[in-house]
Amino acid sequence: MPNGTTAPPLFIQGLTVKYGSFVAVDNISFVVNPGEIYGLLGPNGAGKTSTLKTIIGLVQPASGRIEVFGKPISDEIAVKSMIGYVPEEVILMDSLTPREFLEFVASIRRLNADTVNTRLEKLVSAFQLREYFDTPIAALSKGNKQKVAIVAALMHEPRLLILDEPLIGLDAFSSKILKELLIFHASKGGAVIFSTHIMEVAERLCTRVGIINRGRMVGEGTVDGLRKLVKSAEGSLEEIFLKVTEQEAGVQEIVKALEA
Amino acid sequence: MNNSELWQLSKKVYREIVFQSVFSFRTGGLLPQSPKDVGKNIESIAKNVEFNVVLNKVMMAFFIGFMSGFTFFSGVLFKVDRELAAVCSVSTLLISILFIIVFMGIQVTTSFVSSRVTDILILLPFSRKDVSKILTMCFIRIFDIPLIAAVLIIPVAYGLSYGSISGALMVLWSVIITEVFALTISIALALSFYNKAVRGGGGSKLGILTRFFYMAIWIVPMFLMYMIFGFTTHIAEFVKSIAQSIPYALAPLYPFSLGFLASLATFQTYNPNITILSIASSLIYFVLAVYSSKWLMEKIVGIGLGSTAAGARVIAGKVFIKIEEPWLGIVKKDLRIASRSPSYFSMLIMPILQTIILTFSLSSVLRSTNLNQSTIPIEYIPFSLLIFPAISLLMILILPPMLLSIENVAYSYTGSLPLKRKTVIIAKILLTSIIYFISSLTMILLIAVMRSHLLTVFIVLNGILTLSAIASIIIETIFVSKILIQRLSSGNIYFKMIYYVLVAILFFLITMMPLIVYGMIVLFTQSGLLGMASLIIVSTIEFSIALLLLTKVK
Repeated sequence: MPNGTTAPPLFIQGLTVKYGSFVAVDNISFVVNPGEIYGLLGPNGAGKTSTLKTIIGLVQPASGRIEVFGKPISDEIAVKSMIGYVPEEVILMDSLTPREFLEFVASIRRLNADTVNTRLEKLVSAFQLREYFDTPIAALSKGNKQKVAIVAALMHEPRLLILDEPLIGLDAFSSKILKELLIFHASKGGAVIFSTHIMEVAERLCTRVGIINRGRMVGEGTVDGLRKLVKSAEGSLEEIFLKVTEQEAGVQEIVKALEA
Repeated sequence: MNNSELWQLSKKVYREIVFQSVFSFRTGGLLPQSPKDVGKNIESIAKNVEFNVVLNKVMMAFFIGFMSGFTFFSGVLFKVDRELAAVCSVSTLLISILFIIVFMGIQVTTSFVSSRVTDILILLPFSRKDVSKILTMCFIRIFDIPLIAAVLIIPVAYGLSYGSISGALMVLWSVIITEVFALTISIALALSFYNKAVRGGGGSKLGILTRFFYMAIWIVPMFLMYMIFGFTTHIAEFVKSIAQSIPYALAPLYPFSLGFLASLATFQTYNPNITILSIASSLIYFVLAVYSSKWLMEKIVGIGLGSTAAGARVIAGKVFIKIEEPWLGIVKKDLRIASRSPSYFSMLIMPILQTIILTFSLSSVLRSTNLNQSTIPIEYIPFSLLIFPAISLLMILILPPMLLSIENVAYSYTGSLPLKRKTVIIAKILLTSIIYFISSLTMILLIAVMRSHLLTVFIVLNGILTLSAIASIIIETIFVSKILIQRLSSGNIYFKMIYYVLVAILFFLITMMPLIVYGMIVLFTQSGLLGMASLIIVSTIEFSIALLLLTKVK
């Protein structure tokens, strides 16, 4: 059992999430260690977002244990203070401007004005948000909204970053910046867990990956470890993914049917 | 595609616009449920929204009918001669219709202007002309029932009251001109609001002031409507005195020129100069209405072609944020959101307007009340003085659930913030209390002007009642945040409005309790002193309990 300073950034054991009778996440367990970028992969509706939302406290688990740096998620304030989160569907307060939204977030997090403004200056420049800083969020493009959410998640230098499909909607430049930031964050001993559909990104970025299918963890480890698991010496993560989620044969059939 | 098919299609687009208008504060706050439940929930919200919109329109139509009946048949204008009564009644009704339609447009026209449903329409195989036609039909659908009601009811009521077909036809013409003006003002306000206040409205002080200014313009018609309706007799007297002292002053002015024209068509007995002036100015108003309708059509077509939907970029200032205490951060955020939403803004401002209206009523009740020579027994003065502030609190008690439901805006993100429930509750209590104090202060100021001899007594009694008022705000906020917030979370204030009203009524009893106890003690003991003591004791107990409950919130 994790505890104290040696506790991992994220410890999940036997997590089950149910929506009525529908089991979205079925008894999954994994750990994210300091300095790790952990990729959560899976087809649509596999249970990735439900898992991430449960860590944040947006969804109540049916059973299981989740701890962030040794603190149970029931210790909401302590846990949320250590986390930076970017949701899959970025619904921010549309009528506010990024400045007003970030003021609200920083006030709730009780951040130090000098420190946060110095950091904010760097983040806003890095993500090229400066010119949109006083434009209502409603008028921003999807990518720029995503950037606002990312800046809000990084503003307080969280120890654990939880990102749900963070690269969707980002331009190539911002995507590269974010990836570099994640690597830098992990190199300093921070931890990252993120869900993605982009296998190339997961392959290049993640220290370890977990593959969820129909709510169950069907494969977990490094990409090399997973290759051994599926007995493929050279397969890409995409091929490994299709194999462990038993979708490989289906893809061929569907493509043939469409071509016909 | 023919017009009838487009009319049918416009119904679907209209439904979407209406849905967006009340669901614009879409939640991320749909709490975790199975996909099936989410579908049901949204379906139920959509149905509720649609029902509320139809209900509002029908109520407006009834109001127009009632107003016409009241103005033409109640005898309220009997103090002036029939010719002048016709001028006054038609003018009053025309200006009321103008205000009603502008007020009705508050929310839906903004959504109409900012709507992106045309983005989807343009992708489908429609010509641009068809898209514009669909949008025009949608716009008509926003106001359909009240527009038709005004066109049918007012001329018929006038015809029946004054027995003149030509007069009724002139009234019909005047109503149509007024409706065009109202629709034009509605869309002009919505465009201005969207362009200057929402799309371009950053966080600068000027931006905030601009938004409040636009909001005030929107809310004021509602207030003026009451004033016109409540003071029809005074208006008639005022018109009479103006007509006698400066006979030609009113004839060229809208809506009086149209009123004079209706009266002229009915009685044919007017001063030739007034006749010429009113006919000439009415023709000018007609031409103005024709131009307004052309402008209106152009704007609607512009919206159809997406000229307003494109995002504007505001020149950004220095990247610097101000950090407040969490509770103040919430209050500022709530005020910012409310300043950009006509529906939320009207909920914040309505208690203050209602207080002004109630103070006028209180003032007329207390006209004969003198502390020394009162027609009301001295023991009952506290009750008479406090009943109106207590009633004005009913509107304020709708605020805590409304403000708490704002917390569900973007909950899918804000739910990840380390925000204590107690901080949220305190912020909402503070904001509601600020509105209460502004209302109270307004009432005190009006009493100071209208019934200054009662000012000291009123301040003391109202001060005692304030303890109960704050107690009910505190207890209600705690209750709603714990018990009801999940029910109130899906959608916004228009979703199951009944909860807001029921909650307000329930906690209204807390405010009324000291008055009820006072009334009973005075009734049984005939002692005003004991009554006053009970008033103070009950209010203090309520306030203490509320504070105790607040300290227990985590």
